[in-house]
Amino acid sequence: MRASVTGGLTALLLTLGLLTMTAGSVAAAPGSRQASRDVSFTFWNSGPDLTTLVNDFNKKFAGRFHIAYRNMPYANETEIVNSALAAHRAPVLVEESLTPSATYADEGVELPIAPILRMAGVNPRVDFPASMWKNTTVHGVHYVAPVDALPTVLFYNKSLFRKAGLDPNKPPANAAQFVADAQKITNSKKGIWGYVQEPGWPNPFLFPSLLAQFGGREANAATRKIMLDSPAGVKALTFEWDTIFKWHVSPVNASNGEAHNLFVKGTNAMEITGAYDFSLYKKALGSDLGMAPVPVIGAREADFLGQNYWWLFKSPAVTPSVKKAVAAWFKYFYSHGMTLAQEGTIPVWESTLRSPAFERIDGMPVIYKMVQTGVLNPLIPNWGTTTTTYLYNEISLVLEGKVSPKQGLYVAGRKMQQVMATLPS
Amino acid sequence: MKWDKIGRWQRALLLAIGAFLMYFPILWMLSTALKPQALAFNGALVPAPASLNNFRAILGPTSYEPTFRWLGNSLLVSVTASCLIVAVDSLAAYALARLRFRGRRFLFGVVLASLTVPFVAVLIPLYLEMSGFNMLNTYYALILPYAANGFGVFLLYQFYLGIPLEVEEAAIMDGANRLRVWAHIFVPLGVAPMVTLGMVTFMNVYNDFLWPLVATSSVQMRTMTVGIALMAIGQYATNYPLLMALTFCSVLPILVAFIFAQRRLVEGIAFSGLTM
Repeated sequence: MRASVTGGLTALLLTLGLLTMTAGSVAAAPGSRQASRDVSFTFWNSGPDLTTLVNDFNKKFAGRFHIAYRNMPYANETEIVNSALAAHRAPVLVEESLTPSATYADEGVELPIAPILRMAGVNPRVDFPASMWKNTTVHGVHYVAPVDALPTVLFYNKSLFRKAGLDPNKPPANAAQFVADAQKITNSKKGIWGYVQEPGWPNPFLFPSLLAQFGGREANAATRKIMLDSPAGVKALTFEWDTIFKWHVSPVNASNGEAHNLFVKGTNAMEITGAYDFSLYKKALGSDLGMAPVPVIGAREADFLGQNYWWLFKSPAVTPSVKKAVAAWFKYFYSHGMTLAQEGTIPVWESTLRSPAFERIDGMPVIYKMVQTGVLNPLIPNWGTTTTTYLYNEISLVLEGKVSPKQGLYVAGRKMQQVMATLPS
Repeated sequence: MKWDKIGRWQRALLLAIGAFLMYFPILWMLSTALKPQALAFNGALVPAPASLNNFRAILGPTSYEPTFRWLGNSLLVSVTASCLIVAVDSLAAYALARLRFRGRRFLFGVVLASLTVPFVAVLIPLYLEMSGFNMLNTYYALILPYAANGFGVFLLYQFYLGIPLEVEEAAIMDGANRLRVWAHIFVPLGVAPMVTLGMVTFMNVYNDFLWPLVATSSVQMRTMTVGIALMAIGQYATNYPLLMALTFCSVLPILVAFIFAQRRLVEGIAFSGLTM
């Protein structure tokens, strides 16, 4: 027994010794980078993986600029960035979706982005789609610049359209056509649906799209007033409710992911969601996949614009030479819009979006149109948390038939307004 | 009908159904891992067409991520943390159970109170500590936070209280010092709960996600759970077959560890009344 205890302790010590050596070598790695005289800055993102583009940049600017890049999971970006901020180790440049930036801007930890864009030769009013630059200020200052866009689109199954005697090249363009087409296609006994309205996803894309189409807004960012239970909000949510309970073109209580799964399976004819599923749907349906602008259910064309933005954190590390390096990266990144587009990420550089090469990429013309009519979430701190907790819970209850659209939006709005009151002014 | 009146075949059938229900998630995981992404939710348990593409993407020579390195990191971190926690908690439990010193009760209270603090509450202070010691993105940061915990101290403390005082006194009369008593009496007698503690720690550390995610920044330092999240879970969409293939690869070491330590683990659980 004594031998086994001694053996165990020896093994433990050996493991710790090895660990110390390995840890030392790993810890030494960043230091070795300092040997070169290039200007280095940290860049963390939670959107599309930009490793290849960053590596190319580092190669091209070797000896001058270097980016220490880290890709974060979208769902946990807040924990990572906030821990780093608390320890004064925040990255110089960070990219996340738009609304977290409002929190940091409100806390005064971001730098205005305009001077960096000027250094990069970017004129944001001309070079970015207006939908992605307007309404992105906090207290009148632009702290963020767009990285990529992800509009809402209508995916449809041409084969199901054909089988129902509809023209597969004429997707619905308004509410009446949408409902008529969906009713023609729906055969609930055979499990064929014209449309599948889930209580949950993709409402973060769908509901704001319909709300904007009816002329409504989720909230006023300046006054922080929640505006969900407006007539526009009620009409938007009533349309979703009607697809299930009035027109019966959607199954009742569709489970999470059912719209997506049935669409891939070929038994759901239409889905209104973010354009992120395009390549997967193309693989699944091939030439039977149709993509079109979101039908005008309300009074005007509009759709929710998913997106990623970047900003710089205030820190002593952001020296003039680091700003130059960031500007060089911006210039490089925006001029490589086609590389992104070919990988399925939608760029935000107007000259790329308007180029013939971009138009030739499958589906991109529709996407560009939707970028132009896109609307963003209001820039209010903690907006994502607020909406997901209350708005989408209530929408779920409405679409499960438990409360009326008006009641659901009223309750969500009231709860969200209480949260607004807790935010710093 | 009483259990002993049920025939052998009926019992086997019932157990087989139970086993199938238990193994179904693993079967589904393997089945999905063998499907292309577009067919992930087609409902078929037997993938047609079946393909090893997802496993090639992870384990093949052309894999674009260092999956083996992540697996190695996870194993290194979990094994080391398990060894450390057994050693540290056992010494602490022995001290609290057997030594008489001022503040012992208070210290034990602190240990118990630490069980009520959720990890999220200490995330940022821990990050600040590691940052202060310049240990972020190193194995130190991945291992040291797991090196001791109140649960292990409490578990072993309870066990050590049950060891007769006379055994310890006899050893002391024979000239053994406290460390020797611990090493020669308490450790051998406490193998079952210590193995249990080691295994539970191994599984907890191996499956931990948040701390390795926050504490590491380079691709090479990721553990398997963090690698999985970054490789297969996107901003809006998740590649489920790839996710399942990665998860399958990551649960294999745990399964193997469980198979080898099964007897000790069951003994320990039976002894301590622990639930997993």
